[in-house]
Amino acid sequence: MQLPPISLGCNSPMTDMVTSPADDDTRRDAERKQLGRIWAPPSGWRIISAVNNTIVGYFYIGAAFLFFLLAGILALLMRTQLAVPSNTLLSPDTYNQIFTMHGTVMMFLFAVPAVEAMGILLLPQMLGARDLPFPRLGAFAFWAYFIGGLVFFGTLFFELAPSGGWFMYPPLTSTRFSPGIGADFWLLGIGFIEISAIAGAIEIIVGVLRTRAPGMTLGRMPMFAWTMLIFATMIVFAFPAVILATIMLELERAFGWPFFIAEKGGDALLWQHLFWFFGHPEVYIIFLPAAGMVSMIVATMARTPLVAHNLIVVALIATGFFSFGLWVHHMFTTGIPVMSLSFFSAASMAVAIPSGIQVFAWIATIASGRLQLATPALFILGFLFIFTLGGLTGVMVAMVPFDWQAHDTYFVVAHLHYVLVGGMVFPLFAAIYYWAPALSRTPLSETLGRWSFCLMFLGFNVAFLPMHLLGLWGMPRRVYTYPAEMGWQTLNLVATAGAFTLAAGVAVFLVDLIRNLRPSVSEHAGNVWSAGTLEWMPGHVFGPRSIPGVESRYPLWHQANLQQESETGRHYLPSAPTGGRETIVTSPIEALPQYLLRLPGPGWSPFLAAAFTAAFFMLLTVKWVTVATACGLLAIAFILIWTWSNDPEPVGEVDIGCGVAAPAYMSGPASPAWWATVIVMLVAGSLYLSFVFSYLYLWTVAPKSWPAAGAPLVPIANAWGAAALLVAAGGAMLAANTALAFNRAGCAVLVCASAAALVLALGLEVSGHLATGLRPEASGYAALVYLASALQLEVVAAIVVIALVVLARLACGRLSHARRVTFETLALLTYYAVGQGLLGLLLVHGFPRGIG
Amino acid sequence: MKARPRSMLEFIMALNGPIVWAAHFFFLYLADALACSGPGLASETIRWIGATATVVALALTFLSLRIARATCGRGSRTAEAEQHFSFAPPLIVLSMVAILWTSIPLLVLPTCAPGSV
Amino acid sequence: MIPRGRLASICLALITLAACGGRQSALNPQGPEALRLTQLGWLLFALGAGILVLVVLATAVAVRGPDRLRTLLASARTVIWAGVVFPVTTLTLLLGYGIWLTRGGGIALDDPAALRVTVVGEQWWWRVVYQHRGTAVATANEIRIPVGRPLLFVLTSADVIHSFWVPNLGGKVDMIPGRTTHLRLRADQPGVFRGQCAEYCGGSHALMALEVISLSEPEFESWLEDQARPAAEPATTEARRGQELFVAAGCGGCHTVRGTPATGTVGPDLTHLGSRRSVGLDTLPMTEANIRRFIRDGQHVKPGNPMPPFRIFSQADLGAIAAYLAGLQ
Repeated sequence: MQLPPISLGCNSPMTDMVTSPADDDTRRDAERKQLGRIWAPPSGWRIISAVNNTIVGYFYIGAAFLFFLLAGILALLMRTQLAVPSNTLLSPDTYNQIFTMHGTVMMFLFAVPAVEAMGILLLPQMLGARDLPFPRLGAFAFWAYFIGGLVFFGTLFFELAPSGGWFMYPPLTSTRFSPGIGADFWLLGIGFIEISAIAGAIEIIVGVLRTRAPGMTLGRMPMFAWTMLIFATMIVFAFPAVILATIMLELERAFGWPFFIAEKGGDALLWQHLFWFFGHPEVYIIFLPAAGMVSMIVATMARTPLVAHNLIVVALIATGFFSFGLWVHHMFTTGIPVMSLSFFSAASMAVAIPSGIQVFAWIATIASGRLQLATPALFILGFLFIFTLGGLTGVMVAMVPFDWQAHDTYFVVAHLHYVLVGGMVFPLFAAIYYWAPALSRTPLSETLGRWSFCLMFLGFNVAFLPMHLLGLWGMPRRVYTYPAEMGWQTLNLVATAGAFTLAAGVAVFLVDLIRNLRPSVSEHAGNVWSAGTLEWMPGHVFGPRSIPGVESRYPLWHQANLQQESETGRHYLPSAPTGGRETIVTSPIEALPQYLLRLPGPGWSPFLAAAFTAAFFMLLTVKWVTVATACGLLAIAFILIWTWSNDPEPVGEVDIGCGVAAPAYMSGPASPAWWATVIVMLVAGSLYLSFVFSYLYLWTVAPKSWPAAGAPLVPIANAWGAAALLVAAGGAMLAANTALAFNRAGCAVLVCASAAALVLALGLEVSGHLATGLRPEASGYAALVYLASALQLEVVAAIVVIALVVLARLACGRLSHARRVTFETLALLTYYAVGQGLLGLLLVHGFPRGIG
Repeated sequence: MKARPRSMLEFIMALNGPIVWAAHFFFLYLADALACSGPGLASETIRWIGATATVVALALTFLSLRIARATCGRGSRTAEAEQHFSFAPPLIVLSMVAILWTSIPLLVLPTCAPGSV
Repeated sequence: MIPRGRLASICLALITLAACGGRQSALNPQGPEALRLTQLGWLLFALGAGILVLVVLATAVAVRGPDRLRTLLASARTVIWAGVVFPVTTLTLLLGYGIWLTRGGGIALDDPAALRVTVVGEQWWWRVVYQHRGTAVATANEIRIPVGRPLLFVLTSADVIHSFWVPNLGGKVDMIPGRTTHLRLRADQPGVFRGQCAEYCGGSHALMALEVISLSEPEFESWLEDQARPAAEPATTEARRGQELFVAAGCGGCHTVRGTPATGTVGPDLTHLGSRRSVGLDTLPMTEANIRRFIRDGQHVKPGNPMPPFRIFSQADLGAIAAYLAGLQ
């Protein structure tokens, strides 16, 4: 890897070859046209096959906004039902489906996708990259989410929607008490949409850490990039817990594996622990990117750099960590010992401090500049008020004794809407008004924007402020009606009026969007706010004309002539040295250019793979197993087609501009594919650790299900045999790694041997348990034993598929010692499978013997 | 003056403040959960285990604060431009506050009393 | 930005409204546990309101205030004082106080003076069991308690997760199948307090309410004595006919009337139904008309409840059954 000269600015025209100015212009023109051709998206309806981050980003934010509107309509239905006591507008069952869907759609189909969409839309431009590192993965993530989300929402029209509340507590959601397929739609539908979020997270982590413009060190990285990095990392560690819980509940419903059924050695609280371990970080996952957007907008609107930039970064990181220690505060009333509860109360207090730091840093920034009171600033001010109020009621409910009254009442409904609507929706509206000129040919209307803000701010407070009181007056959550004697009707009616006012504000916004927003990849309204960050440079379909060398946090403010230099191609990557889509990969901390990343162009595989994946999960829900399996296989086929063109031929070093030559191919720990695989391993590891937690937890609750001392267990020889096979698999893979340099046939054999050993180890383990007569339906313990193997099966199945790909590539000459990224992915996942398998064996075979 | 390129490992190590908080937190939670289920441990034992863990955590964070301030605090010798992990010292301070707060229940509460009015 | 005058009048209105909390209001504590929680609530409200006002003022000053103040607000030092030092101090005190409050009101789980009442959550009613001189006395949906005596509620669930909540007396505790949780309360004076299930349990969760009636100690003792007795014999001809119909229609398969062949435990114990204040799984006031209504049309009163509607009776028969049941004092 070459280090460039320290002075990263390459703004001197003399850095280039000595040519005449006229030749220079001709060459620049040709470069620009070449870039335009290479990055042009498909036209007409074929735009569905586009993978440019701007296009996928538009689709993403559009879909998220659609779900926001749909879930908002559900809310209006709810508020109408509750406007008067003993209302018969909606039957209890309909109401229960509607409130479940309102929460589920808002949290899973609007909130997380919306902020992920803003990331996909804005990050590359903000970081000075031409695109995200895995464009097809982003496209796949979007289509899977969109198709799955539409089908999921559609269940409402067939009265098949889930009705267990958005957090779906068993035993209410077990088969016995929720006999229809509504709960299965939630489990399978939302389950796989979470996978879409994880795919997006992988892209964002690698994008933020490895594709920043040269010179954009961590310290100079925009605040939005920090928040997206932390957001994505939180997703990696939090989402697996709910994915595991979802798998467990679906196994219980479909096959009777009693994880949550107390009579059979399961526990209802296990779900709550797993769900809220995800659920609490989830709300910070939603809030942090919004906070990042606020930081960007405040700095621009106040026309001054963010005050206490470093402290805000501290606050963001602290929030990311502390939010993982709050989850039991959703369970304060479950009878868990007070000392445990108080640990979580303490952590809930701790997470309030970073929020306070950010609020005062924003106020300080406004104070140090001169705030232009345009629509984005209005929404920011609205956010400050609403979010602070919500945060304060959060501190209230973080106090255990107060929560014993407020939990599960309208007080909490008020609190959660204040922090989520205040903390995310208002910043999102601010962001749309703010960034519209960078994304659209025309900006949005100031007049309509002000109306929208006023109606939304007024409507929101009128709707939700009274709910604090309703909750303390005794009105519980999730009630489809209430009796007139309670005296709650006035405030409920007021709240309904507020809700409709809020809706009117959103309607005005919608009008503004329709009349004024003209999304475009190449013609933008321009830097109307005189902002200082890179996404405000003139936009092209290929991102920046040339990737700027960055020397400050606000390059457009502090680097004179940067825009003009970049626009005339005098910075990095003014052309396409390999003739295809590319961007520069830089080092994670100092952003030193490392190599050129070649990116794929449009294709149908991601869309088709997503459609068939969605079909697989949805058809399984309605129990059309054969068709579902066919769709699943087609999904895998399309994924293989898409990955087949991964890992292009190494082409040596190329000139990436500014006198820097960099390799156009990289394998090993510095390659983005390696990073993506490591992140996948972290996801799988979090999933497995959630399983380990579940195992130990259920043992503390129902130790009688565990084999008593002296009871017949699987012979220890089985466990040793499986362990030996796992180690052998790892060894074979290590050997294959070495063999790849000398003997491709030998490498192929070793790859086969490794995969086979993994499969055999799994088979030995499962057959051992079956032989003892243990069946997963028997008890929570038994179900956990088989779950260990189910989780191992997931990993091993993926490895087998990838191994087949590796073999195919070896046969076709698309894999060699020099061109080895696919092999490295397989190797990493194999080592992971070995580690996971060994941990599983230790737990399943060692723990019962240890306690016996 | 050329800087030594920093690695991801160093970045992760700069996060040691909240990492110690997390270890301390989950250790205390685990200890309390195990103590109050099954055979259980004596109340005093839990308090001593928790107190020891807290002291260890605070010591670790204090140490790392010294190191962090030496490498990237105001008085450090590293040039401004190279202070990539300047978030570390305040982050460690916040983590220490969080560790202290987590330990308050240890001093005040009965170990396995159920949570209810 | 809300004008300050308007903000003040909204606050005043809210505080006035708040003071009007009645039955089922956490702001109307009728016992020492609830009182502690309400006091905490007011403290938190005061602190929160104060901080909100501070933030609003600071923002207003930052946007359009005098330059001297703006410069003060604009420094990183202010961020540290306002965003770190102040919250850390305040929250340390608050956290300590809150944790202190969770130590409980001094009713030990094995306190011999405490009245133990077992409550089992069902979809969508409450099975209540007292212990009287060694025997179990079952009732449903209505809990009578003696004033001033410590109460220990032993809670569990027969099906899904419910939550037992009587805000006038204290906080809520979940009722979780397979687990037993406890709630310790005390009422300071006689009164009728309404409670409601506070964990979504499907279907008619919204209608799963209960009443807790506190009586003086002698009144309570006599009530419990009465409850412990087997069912009263029907006094009138109509009531006797009602009893025959009750048995003939198989009501005893789900309901218990102690002292008769009806021994079902699926539904509420009806031995002293007439002495309760409500009927229809606590949704309707106790009158014969309402008893008739619930038998005939229970699915419209409490949709989804396990008792099927009984349309097989004529009006006269229905009247007889209602007379019988109302007579079970």
